[in-house]
Amino acid sequence: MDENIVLKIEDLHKSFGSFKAVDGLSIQVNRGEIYGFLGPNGAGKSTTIRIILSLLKSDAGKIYFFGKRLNESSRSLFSRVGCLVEKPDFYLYLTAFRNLEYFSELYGHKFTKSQLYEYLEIVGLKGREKDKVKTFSLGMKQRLGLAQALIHDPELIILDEPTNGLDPQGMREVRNLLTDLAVNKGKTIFLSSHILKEVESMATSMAIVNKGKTLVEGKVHELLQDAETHIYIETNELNNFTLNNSNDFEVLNVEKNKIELKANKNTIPKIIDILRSNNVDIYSINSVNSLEEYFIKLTGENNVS
Amino acid sequence: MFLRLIKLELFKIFSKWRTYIGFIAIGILVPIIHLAMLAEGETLVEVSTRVLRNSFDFNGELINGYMVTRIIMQFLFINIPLLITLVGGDMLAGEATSGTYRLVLVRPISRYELVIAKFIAGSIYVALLVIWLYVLALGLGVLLFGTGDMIVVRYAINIIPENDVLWRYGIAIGYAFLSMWVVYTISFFFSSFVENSIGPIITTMAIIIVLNILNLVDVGIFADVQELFFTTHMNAWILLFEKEIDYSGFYRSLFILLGHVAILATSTFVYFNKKDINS
Repeated sequence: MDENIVLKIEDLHKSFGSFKAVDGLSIQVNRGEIYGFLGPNGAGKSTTIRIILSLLKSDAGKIYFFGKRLNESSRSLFSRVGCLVEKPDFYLYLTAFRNLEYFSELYGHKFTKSQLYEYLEIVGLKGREKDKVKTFSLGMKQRLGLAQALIHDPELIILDEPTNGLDPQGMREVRNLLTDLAVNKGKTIFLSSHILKEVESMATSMAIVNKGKTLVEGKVHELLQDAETHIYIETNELNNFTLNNSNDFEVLNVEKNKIELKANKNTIPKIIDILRSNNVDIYSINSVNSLEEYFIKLTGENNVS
Repeated sequence: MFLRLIKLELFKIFSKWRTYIGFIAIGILVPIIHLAMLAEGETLVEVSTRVLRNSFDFNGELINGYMVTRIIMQFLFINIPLLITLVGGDMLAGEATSGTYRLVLVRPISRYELVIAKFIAGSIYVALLVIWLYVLALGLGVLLFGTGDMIVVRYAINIIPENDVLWRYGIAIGYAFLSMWVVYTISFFFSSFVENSIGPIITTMAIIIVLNILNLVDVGIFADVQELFFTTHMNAWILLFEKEIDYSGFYRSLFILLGHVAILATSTFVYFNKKDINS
């Protein structure tokens, strides 16, 4: 199998009693991608990640890392993978430095102190290295979680809600860090997140899963190309002007100087033409939440951030 | 890599406060018993030998470091298992409680390697605890009470010559480790099933208590079953301080305890390798 297919899952199944958590899920992650793994709560995302990382045993299905089938004798493949699954838990009685030292040594070789300090600095924990983790906030643990996932310079980084618990500044730092790793260092990032804007802004490919099945998979820009978008237009006072639904757009709301439409982005020039031909002045146009719309359309769920 | 894993597990064990409870408890209890023996030891020996004093003359110091060590061992062997389970019960369940399996088991190490490394590291802790107990009991005993022939009052009075004592203690330490190793293995076994260390600690202690009670039920049909209880054999080190050692009885006990360790440890390794990590 092609080494450039960094992660491939084929027909994965996992049940807990009579509940099918994963039901024939298949995905493929290519080298250098930031791959968004989306789905509503209970869709099977975390179960899938746990199976990929061999924390759970699957009932059926195949997993390939870097073109090689994952099984007991291919555990060495994990030296090329870094991950952070769900909430970041550490040994509370150890310092941040000792935790990082411990988890890095499990890769089979000792990292130098300067390497460990460097990664703690990268994730913004400089000055807190010698503090016990029990004194850390969730955001700080999340940063330490990223450090342990990156310390061995993995080719594939699997992250489950990596910005969870971080403040807005921290979220931005993490997004920039991940984008930098993918764009400038050629890392592949598999990102599971509830925050659709996060995935939309970072991911190059994505899969949306629900009820343990893959609903769609592909390049983000291709999938969203045909997705309907909410368009907000700020105008002068509309007075007697009326905008009716057409085959190209649906008028959701018209106020004194605001129009809200649901349409494909490609329709925007046509809408502008209609407004201008009716002497409506346009002050601003915003198109938002295309992924959110797409997600809700596919999953029928509204529990998104 | 495997040696590194054992080293890392030892590092974790000795980074926890609960690990030192056993060492501290022994460090406090042993000197207290020594002091009690210093104050009341002669009376105790006199009571033990009262019947025999009608027929024999006892001259010189009967109490010495060797005798006191043996008495301490008998006292403390009832309580040491609790200290062992504090660590053994936490070895696997503690990782589940803290959620750290999600970070440990996604490394390029197999579950077998991890669970065996944990088992060995915990066994080293048990060995150190037993050695600490003997070193303190024997060292302080010899320092306070001196040496000499060892008087053992059991069903009869045995006098073991001074030059015949230390090798017996050497084997006794090994056997005491084996006894405590069984306790550790049981708590380790239960630790693999749950996500909280309290359960394995309580379950292991409950088993020891129940089996000890059943050992007291002196009914014929129980005899064969009692023979298989590990609690029946935990004190077989006492046989080493008979004038003539019952080697067949000693070896039988030794193999029964080793059998417990082998079966329980293997079961734990196999189960842990197959279990789903949900924590």
